Amino acid sequence: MSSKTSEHETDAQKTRLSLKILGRLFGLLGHYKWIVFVGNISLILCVYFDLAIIDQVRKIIDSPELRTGRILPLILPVLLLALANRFFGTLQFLITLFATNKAVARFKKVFFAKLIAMPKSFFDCTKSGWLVARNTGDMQHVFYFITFAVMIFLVFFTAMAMALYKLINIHPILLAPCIITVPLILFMTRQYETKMTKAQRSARKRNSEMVANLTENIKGVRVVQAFDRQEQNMRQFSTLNMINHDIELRISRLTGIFLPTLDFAGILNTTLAITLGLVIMKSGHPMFASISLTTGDLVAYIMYLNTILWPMRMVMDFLTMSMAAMAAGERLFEIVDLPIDLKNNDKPVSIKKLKGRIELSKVSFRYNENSDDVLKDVDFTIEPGRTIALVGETGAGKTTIASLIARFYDVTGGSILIDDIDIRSYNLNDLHFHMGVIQQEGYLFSGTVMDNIKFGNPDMPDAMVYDLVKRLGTHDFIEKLPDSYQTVVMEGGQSLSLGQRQIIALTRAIIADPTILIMDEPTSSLDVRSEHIIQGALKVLTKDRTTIIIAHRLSTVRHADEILVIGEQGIIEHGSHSDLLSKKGKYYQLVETMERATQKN
Amino acid sequence: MLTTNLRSDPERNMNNNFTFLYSILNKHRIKLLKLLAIVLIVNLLDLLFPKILQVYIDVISENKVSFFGHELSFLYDLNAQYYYMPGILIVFALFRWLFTFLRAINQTRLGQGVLYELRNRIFNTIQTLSFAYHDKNYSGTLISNVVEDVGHVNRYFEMGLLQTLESSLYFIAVEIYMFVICPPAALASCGLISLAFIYSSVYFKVFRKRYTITRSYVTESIQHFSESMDGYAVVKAYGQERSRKNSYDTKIDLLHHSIFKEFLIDTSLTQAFKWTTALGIGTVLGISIHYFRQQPEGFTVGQVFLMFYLQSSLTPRLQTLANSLHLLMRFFITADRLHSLFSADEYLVERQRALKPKQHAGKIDIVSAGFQYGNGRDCIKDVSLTIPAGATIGLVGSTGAGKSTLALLLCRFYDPQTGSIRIDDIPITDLSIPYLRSQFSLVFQDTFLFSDSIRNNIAYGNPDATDEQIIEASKTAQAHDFIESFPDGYETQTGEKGVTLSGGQRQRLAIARALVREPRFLILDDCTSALDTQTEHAIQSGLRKLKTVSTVIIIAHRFSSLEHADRVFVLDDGRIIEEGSPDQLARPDSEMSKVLRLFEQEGAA
Repeated sequence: MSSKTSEHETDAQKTRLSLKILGRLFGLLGHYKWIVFVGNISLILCVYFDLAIIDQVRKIIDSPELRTGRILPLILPVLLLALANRFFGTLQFLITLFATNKAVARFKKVFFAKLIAMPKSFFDCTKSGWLVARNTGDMQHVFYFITFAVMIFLVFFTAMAMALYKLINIHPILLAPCIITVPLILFMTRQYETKMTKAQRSARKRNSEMVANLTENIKGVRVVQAFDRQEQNMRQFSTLNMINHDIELRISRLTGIFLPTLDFAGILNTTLAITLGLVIMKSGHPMFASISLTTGDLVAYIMYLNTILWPMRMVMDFLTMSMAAMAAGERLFEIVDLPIDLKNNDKPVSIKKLKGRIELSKVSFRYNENSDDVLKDVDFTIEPGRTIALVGETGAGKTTIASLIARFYDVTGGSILIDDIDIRSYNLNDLHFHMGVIQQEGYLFSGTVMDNIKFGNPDMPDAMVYDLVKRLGTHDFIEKLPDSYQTVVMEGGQSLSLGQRQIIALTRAIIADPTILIMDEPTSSLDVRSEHIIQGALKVLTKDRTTIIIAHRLSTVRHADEILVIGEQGIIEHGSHSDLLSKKGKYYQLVETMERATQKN
Repeated sequence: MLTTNLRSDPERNMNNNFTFLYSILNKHRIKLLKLLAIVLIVNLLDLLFPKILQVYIDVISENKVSFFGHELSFLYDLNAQYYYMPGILIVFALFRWLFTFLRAINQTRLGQGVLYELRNRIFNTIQTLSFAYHDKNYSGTLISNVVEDVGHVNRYFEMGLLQTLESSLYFIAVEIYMFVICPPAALASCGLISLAFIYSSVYFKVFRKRYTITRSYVTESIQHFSESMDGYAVVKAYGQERSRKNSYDTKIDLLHHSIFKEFLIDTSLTQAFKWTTALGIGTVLGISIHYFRQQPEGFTVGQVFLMFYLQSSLTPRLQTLANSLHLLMRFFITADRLHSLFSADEYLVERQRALKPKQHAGKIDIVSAGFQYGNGRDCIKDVSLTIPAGATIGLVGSTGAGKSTLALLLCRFYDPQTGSIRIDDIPITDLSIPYLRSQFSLVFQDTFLFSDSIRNNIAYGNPDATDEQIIEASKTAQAHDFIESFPDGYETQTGEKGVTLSGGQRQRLAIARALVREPRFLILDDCTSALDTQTEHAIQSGLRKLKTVSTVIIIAHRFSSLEHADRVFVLDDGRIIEEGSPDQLARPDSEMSKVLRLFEQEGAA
């Protein structure tokens, strides 16, 4: 995937908000639009009652009742309005939160579902760390955006619009000061947005550099200590740390100007407006004769303006969150939008039971359009229950053939038939269910050894598992693990040795009980005992099962029913071990090198 | 684990947290005091503002004004002088502008100062903690914790701390001010809001519990995600996409259900402040009007406005306070983890006046050493062996026999619980650790390369190495040819963002990296498993030509790796069960041969 480069490009191009991405992020709320709608109604009511409190106070101030008469009738509306305001305020908050929270959860699921459906070829060229970073860091930014920025956005516009309406309603002339202050605020916001975007971007970059340095040194802590590099690493880290420190100070100079200037504009506006009010009310100039203003009007003006100014302070948070979410959203959508190359047939042939006959007919394959054919016109047939060994030099295409049979990729020419039906006609999940593929490095999941063994068939009763494992001959080995079948496996099988991992991965295959077994024999050698167990288990496993082994060991090859020697673009030789030896061809040479290695052992 | 502290006594933790916070702030007290002074000034200015507005309103409504008891007649001499007022307000606004700017700058200075120091401290602590600590704390969890913790600490010191200070100071100042104007109204306002403060103690407890639960769901879902990505091949191979997706969905539902609850708890505090301040507006207005009416000198509209303004201004401030308390809460949870990181004691203790001998002959004695990892199972049992200076030694044995552990004990990454290890008859615990490590080069089973050029990776343990030295080492490690085959040669980048190297290539780079240090002792821990036999032999014969390396210890499980060893020790279950020359061990009656033969027979059958 080209994501690494595109990440830089997109970051460089975007100094301003991209409305398209933000629009799509808002769109994530689409499924909950009715809930959001109800939330918005509550929000409008909440702001309405908030402003109504100010109106009531305005009435109190202008009322002659202020100095005489009963207080309760004056005050009661204020209390009731406050209750209504709070009720709808709380309601709005809860409703919106409910919807946004659901929306984020949904997006996370969509993201995962998309990834898990991607073909194996996608993962082969995408580092899992990169995907995990997308799912944690970027997802977090989207989460913040949807949850908080959306809320800020809604509150900001509702409060702003309604308070502005009220403000004009007092008397339009009081808007006059805005001629000075609004351009001031707009100019500053504009300046701020551009500068801030730049600063934030470089801060993010520097920060990820620092985090990367930290991460790497924790991961490689053993090497760090073995080579006694602590002091030098500390110096390096401190420098990165200081750069971060300095950038943050620079950013604070930007933000440090924004908020105070906003406040300044607010005070300026108030000053100009009430001075204007003072002049209108007190100067007695005939020009103002038609304008009637009261003290209450001015008080209301001050308070309305406050209602507008407070949410404006959050514009900065909104911008910061939006910018982060924009970059993050872009990277996430890039994945969500990826096309899936391997498509399931619209009307897949269902599989009840496979016999396990495999036929390759004129199979050609290239990894991408511009590269050369790795395989060309490969033909061969494997009868059910037979064991086939694929041998050949590294890079000859053994793994490619195995991957094609497992339909991790689609052939670029010819076809592969299983039980005489093109594998593209089967449902991919179904097909994999009947196939066991054992990788060189069998990845283990966190959980217990038992969980891992049952991976392909989680519902199998334990008793049946024990039976099968005993038949395989790895039971004693597993029993000897610290907690036997319940031994805890850490992420990636970290806590186990290479040999233990391989034996468990092999055991996992027999529980899945596949009709077709495809196995990539590990190149790295194990200690004698583990090797012994594995060879024994393999014999049981391959019995009565169509097996394709990518072989590196002489002993494995000797047990195969048929051997295919893979060379450039296809099969060079095939036959049984003894047939091929007598030919004294490529196979003979390969066996010689293998034998030399074995003798040395 | 890092989280164990969370389960212990919360009260004591709270105290610990405050002590921790105090110890951090104490170092920066000058910056803190400066910030406090600025915050005080800003708060006073904020209280002055409504007072000035009151003057205005009184001028408008009453044509009279007193400013803190002084008759300021020029202010309401409407024929000439009322333009003083806007002037005063604008000067005020400029003042406020200046001080709020200073506040922002000083806030970041304090926050970033603290952060800079904390980050350095975290880095250094993690780097120097011994293997025993890192065994217990899986690097993935450690990294995510540290990165996340740094983020929380960040947010707290950049925003939370100042918000707490400023909002609570403002709250106190407003209540005092209101008390001066109208005592009963201030008491009512204070009384209402203190309900919210009382609630906050409940909030702290509930939130903390919920937060811990959410965290565990977060970890689970992230782990499920990353394992699915790492183990994609297995998922695909067994057709388990649907079940992986279903269980991920379940985890996400659980997580977001918990997040929603967390939000509910979180917002309950904000809402408590909002409800009490909102209800306070009417209450304060009612009480103060009532109070003002009873004053002999009467009252002005401006006074009513002032009370209204003060009470209303509490709403956003207390919302900020609630928010900052939330940040404080997160900081405290983080502080627990940081505290347990900083107080972890898995360090190797260096003797005072540790020795740094000039010359080493290179003889190693292991005297009845016994060792176990934290799990209580003996890993090394009463092992004694002598490695003469200049020898090449082999250690063989099956998985888990204790070969690697023995190597780690030699370089003192762990200390054996019983027995001792001596180099030239000096116990290694008497040697300075950096000195000891500089004598050894250990090539690990799993090769870790840093995101840097190949050249820098090789020079990792000896940054001053010349190009000649680096090329020389690469040639010995049989890495020179493949390095040169890259377009950028030695400048090729490796690691996360660099070229993908095969297992064998990585192992050869690791060997070159070890050689550049010119160590006296070289330990190769099964680091040739991905190499073919020929390459392995080429490396071994290269090693014998090196003059600086005196003693080589090769850990292997195939015999072919040990052909050139002077002496081979066979380990099984933490004990040495056999030793001898490679030829002796190859004899049919040796333990080693028995195991080997067993395998051969089975293999041929």
